Amino acid sequence: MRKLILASAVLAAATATPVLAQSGTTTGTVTIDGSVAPRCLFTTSNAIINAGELAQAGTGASAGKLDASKLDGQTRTLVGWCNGTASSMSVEALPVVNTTVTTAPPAGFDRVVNYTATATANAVNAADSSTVAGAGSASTVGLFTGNVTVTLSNSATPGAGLLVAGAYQGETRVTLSAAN
Amino acid sequence: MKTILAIVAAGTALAAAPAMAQDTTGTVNITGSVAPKCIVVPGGGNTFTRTVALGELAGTDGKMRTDLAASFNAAAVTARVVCTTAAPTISVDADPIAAATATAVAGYDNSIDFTAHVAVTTTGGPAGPFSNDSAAAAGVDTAIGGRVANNGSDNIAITASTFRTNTIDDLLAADPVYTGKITVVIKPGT
Repeated sequence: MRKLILASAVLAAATATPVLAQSGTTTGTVTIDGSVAPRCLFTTSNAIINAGELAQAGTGASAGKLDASKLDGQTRTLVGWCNGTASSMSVEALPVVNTTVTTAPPAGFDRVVNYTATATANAVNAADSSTVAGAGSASTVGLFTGNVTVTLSNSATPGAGLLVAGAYQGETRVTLSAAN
Repeated sequence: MKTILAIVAAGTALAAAPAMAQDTTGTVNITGSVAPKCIVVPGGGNTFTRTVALGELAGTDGKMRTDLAASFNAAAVTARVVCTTAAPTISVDADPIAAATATAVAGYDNSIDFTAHVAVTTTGGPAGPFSNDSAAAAGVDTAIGGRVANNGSDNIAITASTFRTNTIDDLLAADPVYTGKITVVIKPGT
């Protein structure tokens, strides 16, 4: 009987040892918190298209009217990024207008050139026609970094008339909006 | 008659001798033990927790802020741990500061690696720092090199360095929750 008791005591001691070692361990934890806000940034934010003479040369029926090839197909590259997965891009095309002659032209003449601008970023397009005021519909570009190419197309004058002489200026605005 | 008396006295003396040898000695044995253990002071618990809030992790250019180490170390993360043993061990495990949901794409990173350092004050002076990089496996138990100091002051100091994204040009993906962790385990040793 006494041997049995001793044996039990030894067993109990052996069982208790790992528990003591485990409870003797101390664990410290340092939690590091932070956040990253959704943002978009153009690192190359502007480009210039110098279209030159907008009117067709020569003596034919189209002479003096818009030479669409001067604007159509023109492409410029901006560079930017958005770090939010729901970031979007929109384009607003403002017509190319005669800044020298600002009054309404007589019949048969035009002083405005409309066009469509299409911006492409992260394989997503956003477009707008200058015939409609305001920006076009926004497209979700998500997380991207790199080129934002802007391409012009469908240029035309409202009356298909002769272009009034003067300096012409237009603008295409690309807006990146951050969201997550 | 005189002879008889002498004999009786001697007999009495012989009979009395065994009675004097019966003094009794009692002994109370007092035993005890001290288990090997490490304890957080104050409180006597076995865990301590600290939080370092770094705030916005991206700079104005969208890349990782370059002052994260300075911000972390300005928090002066310390603790006081005492051990009953002469040769305690320590292990350090750093986990990257990772976005809760944002994923990484080309040009972007959704986690920040860093190196954690834990300096220990022992009765013999400074020990360590014991380090672990969040890009590496967890550190193994390593002898601290002496008894941890019990001088009434914090004896564990945690710092961090080498905060980085995968490439220096990576932008950080937006996410309101980025979380990392440094785990320090101090064992009594043998």
